[in-house]
Amino acid sequence: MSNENQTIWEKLSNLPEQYIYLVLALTLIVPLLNPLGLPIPISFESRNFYNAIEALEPGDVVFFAFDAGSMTWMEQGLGAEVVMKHILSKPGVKIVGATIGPEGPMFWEQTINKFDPSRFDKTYGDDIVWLGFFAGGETSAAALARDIKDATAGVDYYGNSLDGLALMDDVNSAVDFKMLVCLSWGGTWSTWMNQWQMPYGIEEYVIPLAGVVAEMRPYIQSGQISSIINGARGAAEYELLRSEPGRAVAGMDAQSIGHIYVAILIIVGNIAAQLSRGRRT
Amino acid sequence: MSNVLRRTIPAVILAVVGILMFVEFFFVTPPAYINAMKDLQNATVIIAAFAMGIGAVNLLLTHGSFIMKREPDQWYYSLWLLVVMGIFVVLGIGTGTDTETYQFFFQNFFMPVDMTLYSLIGWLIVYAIYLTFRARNSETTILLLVAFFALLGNAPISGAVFPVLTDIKSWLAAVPNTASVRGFNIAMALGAIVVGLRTLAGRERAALGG
Repeated sequence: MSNENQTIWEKLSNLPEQYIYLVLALTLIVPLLNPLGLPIPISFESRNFYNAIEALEPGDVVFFAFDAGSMTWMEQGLGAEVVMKHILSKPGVKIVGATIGPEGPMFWEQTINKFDPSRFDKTYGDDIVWLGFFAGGETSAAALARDIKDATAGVDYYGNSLDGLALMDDVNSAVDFKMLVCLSWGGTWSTWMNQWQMPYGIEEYVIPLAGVVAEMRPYIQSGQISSIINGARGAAEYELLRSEPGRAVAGMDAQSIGHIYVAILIIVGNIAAQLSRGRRT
Repeated sequence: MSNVLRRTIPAVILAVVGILMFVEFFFVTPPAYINAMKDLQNATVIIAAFAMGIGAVNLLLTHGSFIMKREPDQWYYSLWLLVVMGIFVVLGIGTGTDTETYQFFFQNFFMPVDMTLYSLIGWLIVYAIYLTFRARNSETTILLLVAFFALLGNAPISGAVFPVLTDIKSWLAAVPNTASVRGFNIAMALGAIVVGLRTLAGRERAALGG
């Protein structure tokens, strides 16, 4: 059927892709340039995560599994940064970081340098230790949970002896940590859950990609995962809880309008398809 | 190479190590045994690190071969891959991955390309949703409704304006989704147990390279 003979419904059920993409670009770019300040309700998951970090006391040590990936950093980086800043801002709270993702070290450096720990009276060795990347997935996570000094051959990422770092005098296995925060690229949350949460009972808080949250639901319900920050939206909620709206909040207008646009496309596509089908029959 | 070297010896090593680790995980064992297993675990971490090096060598051999043979529609991509890999290896080993130089290349070359690739999935999926999410029969209608409510429920504005959308999405996530994922996980775990037992018994050929 030529374009001239098509009804409006037939045209609407087969819109050219360039128009779809053009409007999509506008729905994302315009709110980013001119924020509308649309409301963002806070989910109980983000609130639980925030409360757990807020409840940390001086002397508590957090293990930060920093499994970042460059492909997904634009989403998971929002959550990683807001949580890192929150932990750094807690007086006396210490962080030991490691990753089973090869790109983790680059993003750790980027994140920790962005917030300059000295602003929060935190120094490397006394309050922060970075163990670096460990190949081997589950086995590495298990080895770290059991005995950090053995698994790392007694040195941190920069080659310093762990015996010379004051923070490492107090912690050497999973049971020595107050909580595990897992920045999860793909499915690494389950690796840490299998090797840290389940055998040692440590509370696991995860910053996953929104796309994998559906897989995590059974473990959230069972309490094996204490709470999550659900993608960019969760990061925006966390920024609001900290009263520090940042990049994540700025992107939420675009996310809201983008989602509504896709919902409208589904409705229009279906109505148009039904009506044009009726005409053909 | 004889079958004993290629199959039997690796299968025996696999079975023995597997059983040793299994016993240590599920039973109370003496400290000396625990320490021995700890050493074994640490050795695995070191072997895994070497495996990454083997991966790089394999990449070099595969793409080197494409370049040597001037494989049509491929060799120039392979060349570019090896050039970029070479730059990052030299920079990483030469300056360290925590230096400004390495971070500059990583943040301004590698990251944007990787992020763009991931973003394209989200971009293209919008058109795919428009074309395919059509109520053609009862199954597709159910899928369509679930996707529709999940989509709207995930938009922050929906929860603020129509809280019922968030409630529907939460119910979908907590009940039907969790039930199906749980069923899938149980099936997968049972399958993993069977594969594990077959591996320990030396009957799983895939574990030894097919």
